[in-house]
Amino acid sequence: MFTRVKGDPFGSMFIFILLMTFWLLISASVDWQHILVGVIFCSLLTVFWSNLTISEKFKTDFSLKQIYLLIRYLILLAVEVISANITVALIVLNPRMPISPGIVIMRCDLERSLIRVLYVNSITLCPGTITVELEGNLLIVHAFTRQYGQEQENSPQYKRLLDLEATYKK
Amino acid sequence: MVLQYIAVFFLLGGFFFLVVGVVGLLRLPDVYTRMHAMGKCDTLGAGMVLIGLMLLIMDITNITKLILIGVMIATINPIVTHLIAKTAYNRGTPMAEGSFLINDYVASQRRRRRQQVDNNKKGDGKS
Repeated sequence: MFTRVKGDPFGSMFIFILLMTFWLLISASVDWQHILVGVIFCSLLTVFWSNLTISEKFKTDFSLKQIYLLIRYLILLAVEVISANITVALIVLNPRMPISPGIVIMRCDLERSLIRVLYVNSITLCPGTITVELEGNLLIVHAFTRQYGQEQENSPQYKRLLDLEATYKK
Repeated sequence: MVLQYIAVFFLLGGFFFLVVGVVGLLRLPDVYTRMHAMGKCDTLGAGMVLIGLMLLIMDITNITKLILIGVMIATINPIVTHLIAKTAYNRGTPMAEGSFLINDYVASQRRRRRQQVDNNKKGDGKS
């Protein structure tokens, strides 16, 4: 139980800060009692959760470049969400409903679990595609039309996330 | 006063997208296409409603809570959409008639391997 915490102190610290920020945002007051209770429970959670949140293989690592890439990616994602909703509105409110749906099976080369989750979520929020399955490097996508499915592999999100993962490997 | 008009714009936009999601749920042919409508429209619809409420409230503690609700909706909604689609696919739920299936896995693997070979050749040429 305690070995993992010793193995990756930076990761435990990061999770502790995350939980503490959440606690302070929810409680919305900075009395010493609130902070004391928060510190006690956040450290308990960090210790007991350490075998779930911290893995031996991928150590927690942080740099400013990753935050910059992540913010750029999130801005791109917000634009994509708006365009996806307009696409869905145009398709649904069109009386003829111009769709020919189907399944596309393709490859996904991302390895870190957080980045995989981000990629899957961004596929679901992108125009015309939702994720059906991601196992290993096999990715199954459901698309509204053929064109959306084929464009997905060369999407700008995927390139951004590959850039983001390349920063971890150095 | 202007702020209230902007808030009303965001609220009405959010309601419009939520209505589009429900219309899609009723009109589209099968489970997967319905998940398209629900997963996307609910995210932006609820997000726009939350932004409109933030502009109306203007109180920093409540705004942080609304932002947290927005972040949770934006992360949970795609995940639940993915879960429903995955369960339907693994159970073999039939798709709408005339659905296509493109298997790009082997082709993309081949493309990737060729790219790696090219990169290795380039590296050799430089060194």
